[in-house]
Amino acid sequence: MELATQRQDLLEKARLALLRLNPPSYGFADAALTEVHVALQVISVVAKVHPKNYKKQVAKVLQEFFKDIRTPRMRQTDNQGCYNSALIARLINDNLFHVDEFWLDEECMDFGTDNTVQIEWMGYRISWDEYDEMLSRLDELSRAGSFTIMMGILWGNVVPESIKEVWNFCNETYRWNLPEIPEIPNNCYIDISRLKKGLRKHGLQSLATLIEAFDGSTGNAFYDFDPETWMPITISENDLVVAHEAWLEVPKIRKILDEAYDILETRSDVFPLFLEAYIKSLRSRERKGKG
Amino acid sequence: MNEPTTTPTQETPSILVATLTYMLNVQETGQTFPLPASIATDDNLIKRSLASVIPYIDTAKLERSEPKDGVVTITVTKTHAPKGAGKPGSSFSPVITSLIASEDDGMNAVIKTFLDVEQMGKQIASYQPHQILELKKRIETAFRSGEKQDTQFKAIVNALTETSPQAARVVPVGF
Repeated sequence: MELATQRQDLLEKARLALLRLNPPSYGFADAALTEVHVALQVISVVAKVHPKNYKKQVAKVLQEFFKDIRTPRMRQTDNQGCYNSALIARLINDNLFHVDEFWLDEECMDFGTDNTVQIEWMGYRISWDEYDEMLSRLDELSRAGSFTIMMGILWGNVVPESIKEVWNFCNETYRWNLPEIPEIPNNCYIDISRLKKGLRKHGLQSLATLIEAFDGSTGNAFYDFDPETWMPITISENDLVVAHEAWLEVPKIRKILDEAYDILETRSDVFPLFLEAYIKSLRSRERKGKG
Repeated sequence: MNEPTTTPTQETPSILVATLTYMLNVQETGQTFPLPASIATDDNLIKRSLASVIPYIDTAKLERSEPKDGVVTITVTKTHAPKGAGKPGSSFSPVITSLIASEDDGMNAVIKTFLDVEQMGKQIASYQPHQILELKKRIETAFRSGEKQDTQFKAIVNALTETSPQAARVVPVGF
């Protein structure tokens, strides 16, 4: 065993000595070193947020990463990722915050040429395409899912000639208990604190957080993130720390949103109570003239 | 032709004066011809006098034989000389001097740092946070200077590529 270890050490020294004799091109060294730099930034932040056991958290992945910083890059071809970059993405995902699944795939990742990372988005924010798809499958929704349809109608996302049909269908199918389509005044905004106050009276305040999540205005990047328009984060220590802090808030928000879904599925009076509080929270955008 | 090839009395020790004759042998061509004693006693004079006849004589090796029957043969042997701008006093010589004096190995800082990091290998996995920060700073410094070097290098290569060739005004040393 001793001899085998010594032999292995000698082979490793020989390998490194031979590599030293074969310097890479500037472009290659720049990309590989950028990848190393990203890894060091991630390690620094992991050490900062997990000061007691950071080595335990990162040692295994780092051993793998620094075992060879040349060959994994040499293996890659145009528009393909690098194994070592996927290791860094895994390090971020496991220790700081969840990243988009795509970023964990070694065939897609290359921090050497693109040192950005896409955070995992929670999927509450509704895009136009998703809303259209929901409209086309109205009969397949859950009662909580039909709340999204209601919000879309209130926010003017359904063409006027279809509103009545959609409203009536959902009202009957998902027991909204709202036979009349409400009159929503134009040019209004939601006073969210008033809405929360109105909902709190009925134990429905979690619904306010839910519509903030639909709108992308929770204040938490993981819920507000819009994959269609937001750019991925360029990795820097500061941004990694901020994203990590936002990630720590995710379970709390998730719990509130789960509660909202439970309420929407189980409470029979939830739709009328919500609508009442919603209408009362609307404020006109028109400014009053001075004097 | 009119000048005697014998060493003048007043310029050399009297013991040799009367008898020595000088012949120049150009090894490359096999030519041999007499030299006036007033020139043949001084290598620099030989070089200056024959520069137009033997272009490489400036760097050639001049060897004098022992006098034999009153004849000293000076053999001119062509030697390798510094190419291009190696001539002392040329406008390029400060460049050559500074290149020779440079202590850098000419490797881009990014490539050098890459090789260093590669040698550190798995040890980095056990670094303390402050060591990680030091290495990170070192890489950042390498990026800054390496990028600058690379930009300058590319600019020089572009300039050389885009410059039209021009005939030299002088024959560079060694050609």
